[in-house]
Amino acid sequence: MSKSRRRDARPTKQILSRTLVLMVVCGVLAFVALGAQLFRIQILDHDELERRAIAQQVREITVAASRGTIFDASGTVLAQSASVENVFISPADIYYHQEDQQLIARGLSRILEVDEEMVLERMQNIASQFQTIRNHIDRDMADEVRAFIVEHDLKSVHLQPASQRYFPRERTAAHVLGFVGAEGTGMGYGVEGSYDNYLTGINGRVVRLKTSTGVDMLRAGYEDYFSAQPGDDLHLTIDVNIQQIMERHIAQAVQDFDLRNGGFAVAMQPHTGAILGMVSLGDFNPNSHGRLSEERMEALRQRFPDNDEAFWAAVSEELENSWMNKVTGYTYEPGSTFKLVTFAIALEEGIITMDSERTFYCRGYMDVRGRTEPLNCWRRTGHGALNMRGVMQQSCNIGTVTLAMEVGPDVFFEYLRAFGMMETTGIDLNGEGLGMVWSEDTWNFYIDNNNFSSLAAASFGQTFTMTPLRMATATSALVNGGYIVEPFVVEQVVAEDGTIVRANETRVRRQVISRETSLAVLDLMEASVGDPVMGTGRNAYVQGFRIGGKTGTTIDTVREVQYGVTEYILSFVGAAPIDDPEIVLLVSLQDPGPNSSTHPSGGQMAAPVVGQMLAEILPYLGVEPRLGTEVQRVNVQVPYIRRRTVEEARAELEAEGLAVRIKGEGERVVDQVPAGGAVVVAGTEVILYLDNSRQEEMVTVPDITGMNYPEARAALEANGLHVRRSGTVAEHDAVRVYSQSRPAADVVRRGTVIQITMIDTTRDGFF
Amino acid sequence: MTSNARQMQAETFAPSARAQAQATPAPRHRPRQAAQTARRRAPMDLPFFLLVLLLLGIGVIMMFSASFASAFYTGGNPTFLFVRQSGFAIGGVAVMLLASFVPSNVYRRFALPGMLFSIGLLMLVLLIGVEGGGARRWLSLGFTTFQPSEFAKPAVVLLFAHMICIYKENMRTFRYGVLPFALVLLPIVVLLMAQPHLSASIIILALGASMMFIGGTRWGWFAAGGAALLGAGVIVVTQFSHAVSRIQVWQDPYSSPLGAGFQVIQSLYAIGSGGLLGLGLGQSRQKYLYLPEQHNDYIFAIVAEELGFVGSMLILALFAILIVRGFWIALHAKTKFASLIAAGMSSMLAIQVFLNVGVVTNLLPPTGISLPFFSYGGTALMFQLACMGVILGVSREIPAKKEG
Repeated sequence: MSKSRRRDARPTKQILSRTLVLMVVCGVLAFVALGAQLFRIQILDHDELERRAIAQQVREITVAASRGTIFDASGTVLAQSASVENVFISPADIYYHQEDQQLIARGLSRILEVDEEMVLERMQNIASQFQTIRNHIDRDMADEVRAFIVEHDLKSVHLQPASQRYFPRERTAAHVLGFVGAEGTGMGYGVEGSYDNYLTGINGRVVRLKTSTGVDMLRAGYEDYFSAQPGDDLHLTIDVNIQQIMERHIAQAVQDFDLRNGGFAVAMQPHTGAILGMVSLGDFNPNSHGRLSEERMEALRQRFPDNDEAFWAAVSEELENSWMNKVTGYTYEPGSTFKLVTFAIALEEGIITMDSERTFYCRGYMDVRGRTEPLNCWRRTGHGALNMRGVMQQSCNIGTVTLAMEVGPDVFFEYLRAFGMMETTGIDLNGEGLGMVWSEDTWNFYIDNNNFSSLAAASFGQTFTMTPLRMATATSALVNGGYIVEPFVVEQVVAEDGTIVRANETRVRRQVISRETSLAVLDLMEASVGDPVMGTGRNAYVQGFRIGGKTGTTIDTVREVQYGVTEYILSFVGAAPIDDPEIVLLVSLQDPGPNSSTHPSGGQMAAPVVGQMLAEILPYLGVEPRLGTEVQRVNVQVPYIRRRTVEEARAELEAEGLAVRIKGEGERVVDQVPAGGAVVVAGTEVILYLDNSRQEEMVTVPDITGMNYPEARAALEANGLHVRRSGTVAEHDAVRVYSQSRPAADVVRRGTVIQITMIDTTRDGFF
Repeated sequence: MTSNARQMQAETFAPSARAQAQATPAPRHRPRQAAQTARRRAPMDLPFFLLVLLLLGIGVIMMFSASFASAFYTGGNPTFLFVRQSGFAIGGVAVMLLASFVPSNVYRRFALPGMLFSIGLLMLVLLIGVEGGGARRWLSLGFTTFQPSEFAKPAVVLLFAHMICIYKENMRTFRYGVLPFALVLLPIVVLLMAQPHLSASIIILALGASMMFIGGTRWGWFAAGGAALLGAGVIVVTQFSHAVSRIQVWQDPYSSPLGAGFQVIQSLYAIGSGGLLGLGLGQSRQKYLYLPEQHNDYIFAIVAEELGFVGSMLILALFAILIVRGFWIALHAKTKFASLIAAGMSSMLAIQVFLNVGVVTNLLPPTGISLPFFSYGGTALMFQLACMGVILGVSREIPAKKEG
């Protein structure tokens, strides 16, 4: 009993009090400490920890903002983005999930039209989770891939949305547009580059929860969508019709004159500065800007048969050259086209007036202080006595230099500055070049040392350089009342909802000459084109319109210094209509080759190109032809007139400026020669058959090279052939057939249209 | 007056009315001397029992939520762990109820054999234990495994309670109050560290210290023991690189975000994400394979993430009340031995909860300790519930008393 009582002893006071202490420690203090720690983590550090947690828990999927569309002035789409998809595989997953390599490679190669070996090769890198198989596939192809993935329950083949830039007009206005890189952003070139921040928009993103292994969580308790904000659209000042007219004619010139270094052209609204068209050759296709054509690759490969490095260097050099916009990036000596500026300075400074009786005597050379040799006129035999208008028409160097000398070096230099020769034009495109012009110190150094050779050369556009665009803006100032305007290619930037984000308006930098002087210069320009005997620019003449302009012929000094080759640059800058110019058009052709029989001169090569362009552009711009004259369209399109009555057919053809001859008996037209849609010179006789009497007949093409136009046309029509005319539209006896589309002695079907290219063959050229 | 009071009490405490009726007035909070007459079992302490069931229920549900994602992604049946744990929980509750019917003095007979058996198991595990994570901690029973350290904990409580009852006043001396206890703890800790199993060693040491403290060992020895442990800790920390990194990670987990600090950081992310009200039950994101051991040692992080500060504090409060109630039962126990084992079992629960939540919240350096009732693990759960049953058994023996 006593033992039992001892064993069942009650807890002592000490045990109880110590138990109480332990109870407080274990049941209260410990939990206060834990509670405090939880409070710190869950309340005080909550934001920071949650941010870090979410950062690791979410996967962001970027939703690419669609890039803005680029429209021309008439609303034609020039660049557009389409949603496409990229296909990539994860070799790591193929390895991990033991998927069938052969099956995947075969399937993808079939659907995506890619090399099966390539797919297999990319699968070998099993450490990689991302190997691109093909980019930019369309929806149909992507759907096929999706079906393939589902069918075989593949975990290693993935699709990724992307955006593809399409340039539906291919090469048209390529340099104005530029291109986008693999990331779909502008690469600096064209408006794709300079307006990239407008075009890009803001990418959206989908935020989704993922497990630590990257798979979507079972339940999407946390998902956020930030919608993409599409990029803004661009509306260009470029008109695709004008652009294509310019491109077509300059391409023709490349053929006609065997131009080995292409050329460039720019059309500008002289009052506003809006660029209407801008061409630079060699060009590129912005849809495939990173690839040279097969034939160019082949040519380069043959040049560097064993040297891969040199080959690829040449490829990339050629690509980069093709991307350069010569109008804004290339600098050249403007040559005689710059004489217009010298005349304007002289007129503005009152050195001479339009009514002046003063004559300049050109012996073919003159002495210039500071020059060891006499300065030659382009016509070595001399122009003889010329008045102001004559100096202009004949592009006489001696007369021009005389005027510049009288203006004086200080004033002349100030005008160079005023016309903007020391600054960029401010066009809204990247990469604008700045020419090489004397610094004020250098200029003064020559003058102080009694050396006027710089002034003399400058007066006719040599020994300093500028961009073609600079020349166009200077010319615009000459014809718009004297204002230097900043050229621009983007009219408006419009957001998706139609708000105008940015509108480019005409910005006038300064007035450099008076309105009177401007009118006088226009008068001089017209004298150069309009005089069919004396004018060096007469090949730019278009019947029915008042066109003015100035020729220019220089040597590419950069190429001469670098490579020691003589390459001509043939230029013509025109303005029309003279009474209120709507367009200034500068065309330059580079390096005519041996296959061009004509003497290389701006008046013979560039002027006719400008004339051809203006003949099409002016009516398009709505310029009314001169009062009392009817515009004679050189070529017309033959209408489709089968099944019409004779009366209807005759009326329609005569309205188009075509003559009519009826053959056979009947009431309605059964057949016609030339066929509907053919383009022939106006006045061509269209033969209408009223019965089935038409017989196929073969004829021989005559040799018409060297004939003048009436002779050539008569010769062709005598053989039952029709004529389409190209080349210069000027009419004088030196204009001769330069080439014919079918060679002499070819046997062709009667009624075939032969295109003949007319060219001014005056021997000493028009500089 | 007395008879009035008696009558009132008879009405209020109907179940123990008979015991009360025979009792003479006694000081409050003192076990009744007439308890031996109550050979029929008094009812167990209902608040304690309900708190255990409540925590167990919440624990199993949270274990399900925490394990669901990983079970799903590792290709298993997402409900497998839940079903298994539920089975162990039900079995555990049965064991707890059975244990509650065992008179507390029965355990006294098992105090020494239990400890010897436990040491035997600890030696056995070193020989035939199942290895996992670089340590040999488990013994296989075929259908399940268990850690002998789970058995060692209650064994320490029982043996120490027994020793304290024997040594009585001598507890104040070194010879009785310290030495024998140290001699018991030493082999256990040595065997545990051989596994190695640091966290179990810490628990055993803390548990032993708690028992000795209640038993009457002088305060000074705890100061000395604490200083000795601290000194040993400093030596270990400065001498052994893995211990250095453990402390470093504790001080600044972001110093090695992908290495040793990874688990702590992921735990903090989870707890921090919970904020005030939590992401909602089942809405944890960190359980999606970010947080390792999310249904085990780190389950409390998922609880805090899903239920927020309010929810996790509520659960901690439930634990605190349960522990306080356990001590309350100890304070009211009929005998010294019963009081000691109830206090010991309560301390054991408190130590485990504090260490687990402390580690998960980075209040303490990282070590692997499971959270009672919450962490996945069948045998551990059953041991815990059995221990709760022991406390309930003690509560049955509390003689009814006059007031509160």
